[in-house]
Order: sequence, then C-alpha cells, then structure tokens
Amino acid sequence: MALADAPVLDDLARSLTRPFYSPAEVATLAGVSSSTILNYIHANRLAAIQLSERTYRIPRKAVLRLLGAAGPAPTLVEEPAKDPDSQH
Amino acid sequence: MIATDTLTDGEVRLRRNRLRDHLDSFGDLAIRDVGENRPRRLLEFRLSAPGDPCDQEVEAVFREYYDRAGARGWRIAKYTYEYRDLRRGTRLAYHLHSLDASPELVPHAHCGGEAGDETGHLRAVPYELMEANAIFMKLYASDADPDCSAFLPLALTRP
Repeated sequence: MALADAPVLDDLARSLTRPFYSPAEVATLAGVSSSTILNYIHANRLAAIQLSERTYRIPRKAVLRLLGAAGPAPTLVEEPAKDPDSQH
Repeated sequence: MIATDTLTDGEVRLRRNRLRDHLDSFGDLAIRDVGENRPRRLLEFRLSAPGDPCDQEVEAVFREYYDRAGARGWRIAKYTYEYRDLRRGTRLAYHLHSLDASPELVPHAHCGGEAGDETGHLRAVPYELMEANAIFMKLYASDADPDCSAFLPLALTRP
C-alpha cells in the first residue's frame, strides 16, 4: 500500500518518532478503518505486538512499510570462509 | 521450541530470509552469515529500534551457530538471543549452550542491568528466535523493565 510520493514519505518517516503506534493511529495514517488494520494483523500482513487480548502495538518500521516508506533496507554481510568462533 | 532437525544449505538460507523479513518490521536490521564454507556457521541478526532517523532505544542481537551435519546439512549448535534497553540500562537474554565442561546444551536466561547486578544463570525453556523477539518487543512496547524476579535460578536446590 503506497499512499504518497517520495518527498511526502520522507516527511512522514521523520514525523513518526515514537517506537509503537496503536491500530487506531495507524488506521488514521493509512486512511482505512481500525478493523482493516486489525485484519492485516490477524492475517500476518502487518507486524504487531499483542500486549493483551485486545491491545496491539504496531512498530514504527511496520507502519512505514505499510505506508510505502520502509526506510533503510536490511544489510547482509556474507563471509563464508571466516571462522564464526572468532567473531563477536 | 527451537528446531533441532538437520537443515540443508537451502533451508538455512530460507530461514535466514524469513527471519530477515520478520525482524525488518521492528527496526533497522543488519545480518551476518559467517562460515558457510567451514564446519561451523553463524547467522547473526542485529536489530536496532525504533530505527533511523530516531535515536536508538533498544538493541536485540540474535546469534545462531550451526555445525555441519553430513555433506550438506546443518544442525543448531547453540544460540544467544540478547535484548538490551539502552534507555533503562537493562538486559534480558535467552541462551542455549553448554555450561562448564559438560557437552550438554543447557537452555537458560540472563536478566538484569548493565551495571553488574546480573542474576547469573536462570532457568528457561528453549526458544525459537521469533518467540524470543516477541518477548523482547513486548517488553519494549510495554516500556517496562524485565521482571527478573520471575526467573528461578538454574541450579536445582533439593532439601
């Protein structure tokens, strides 16, 4: 779900400074209903932490990803010949 | 419960990619895959949250070590799943590795602060990486310290 163009998404990424958001807050940001966000969570389309039976918190990065502003991609370093026991 | 089955090269890579996709939702993620051509291999996932450009508040580092099992297989040898809350100076960790001189793998936990008030080895069940991450992120989302008093010491004391 990409909702806006790149400059707007950059502004969005900077404006979301809290680590977690409620489904209602994410619904407002995405312009959908809270039940849609809950459906995404239950379908494993949106990462969320379940704090209690009916309380979820959605991590900032997952919110950005939902809105099409995913932020930095994961980095991968492969060192096939190195001995992992010498790593820290 | 962590899988103890032998994984093929392809299954290790698939696991790495699945974990990447999962963990990437929780913050900025750096992955290292070390030793694929050696008898021991390390998969390391270093998660920094909440993610750029916010200041880092917590770090979770998941390390899984695999030993060669047969020509193209890998079996989990040990793991360390570590969570540190940099604001609170607290730590929660789930480990599976041998203790002392015994070759037996012992699942256990560590809990406490950065300042040395560690509680030693604590009793814990084995965890799958995503289970450990769920515990860590729930702690983060709750804005709470780990409840170290809820853990029993690893060593059994019999009267």
